[in-house]
Amino acid sequence: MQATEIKDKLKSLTLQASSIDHNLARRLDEINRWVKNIKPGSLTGKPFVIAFLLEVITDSTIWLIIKSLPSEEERKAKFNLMTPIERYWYGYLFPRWINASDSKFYIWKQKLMAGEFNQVDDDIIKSIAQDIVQREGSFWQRYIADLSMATDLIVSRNNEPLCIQITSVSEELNHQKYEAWQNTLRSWEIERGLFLSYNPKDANFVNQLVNVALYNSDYLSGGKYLKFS
Amino acid sequence: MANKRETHCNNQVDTFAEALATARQMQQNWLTYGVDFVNIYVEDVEGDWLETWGHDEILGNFQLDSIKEFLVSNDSVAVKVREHLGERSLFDFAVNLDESWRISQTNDRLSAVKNLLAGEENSIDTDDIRLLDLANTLVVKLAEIL
Repeated sequence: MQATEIKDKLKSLTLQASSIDHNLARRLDEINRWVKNIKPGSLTGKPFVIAFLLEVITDSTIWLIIKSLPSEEERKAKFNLMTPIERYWYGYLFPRWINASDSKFYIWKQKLMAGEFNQVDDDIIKSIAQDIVQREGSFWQRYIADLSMATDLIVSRNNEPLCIQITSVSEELNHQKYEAWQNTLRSWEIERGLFLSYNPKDANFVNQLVNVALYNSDYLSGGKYLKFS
Repeated sequence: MANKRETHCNNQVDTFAEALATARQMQQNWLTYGVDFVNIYVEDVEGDWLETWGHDEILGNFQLDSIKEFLVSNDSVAVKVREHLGERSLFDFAVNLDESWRISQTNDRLSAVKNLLAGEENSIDTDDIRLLDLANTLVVKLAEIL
């Protein structure tokens, strides 16, 4: 499709949402206005904006189908068709994002405008996700989770999904970032989280991160936010 | 009747299955290509779509857009209007509101808005103070916005 069709989709979803879920309608409308105000050529690459929009459209479509079902049983039946990690996203985190207070919602705009997305980070997260899949784990990657919920990946294998933040910042900055990360996770009522920092000079760091991620997704107990560096 | 219901359900299953499959495929494409996966879905990622994102709105119906924006907002009048409309389509209401705002003289607007709020099937009860009050506040609000 052409990129302009994304805008048409966003608009038709906004209208659809206006009679099903007002909060979602407001979010989508806000996103439309926000994209209009992005200064072209600055800070954030177009592929990231498109990726974000495709994701919002896909997730909103699923949400509106579920939300418009007449009974709780029918909604439950749809969630039962999902994997545990998808259920966690569509049944827990995504609705929270839709209904979040504005102060939380604005974080993603600031981050996207500040150019926090970059190809290097994206490639590292992708390598980790690939390794997780090879070792029979599953993952869910959402730019919304990255921007709003300090979560680069949601990982699951034999237990409930675990939210993971991956960072390469220095030891000193690390602590500040860790504190902020904890607060963010708490504010979204995310049950378990793992904060992983790595040294890019270590040739084996992807493998190490995946070991820690999978182990903790299996064994980390609820209410825990663990830092590993 | 039973058949009709079944078809309806099947359609829902299909739409849902399709949407979930799209989400999974997109995730798989990200896993393979990273953010470059967007090129599979969009032909002109680096085109001028971002630069021209708001252009059609300037040429388009600014008034209708403003009405829609207002109706889905957190404004207390908008919330009351939504509560009043209940199951009725907010989009249809916005379109009708836009139209009646264009055609009616300022002094007719109140009755036009009142009629719209009352809905086609209901005869207007002139004693309905609540309805009149809502129409009044809505007209004042729209006059501020438009």
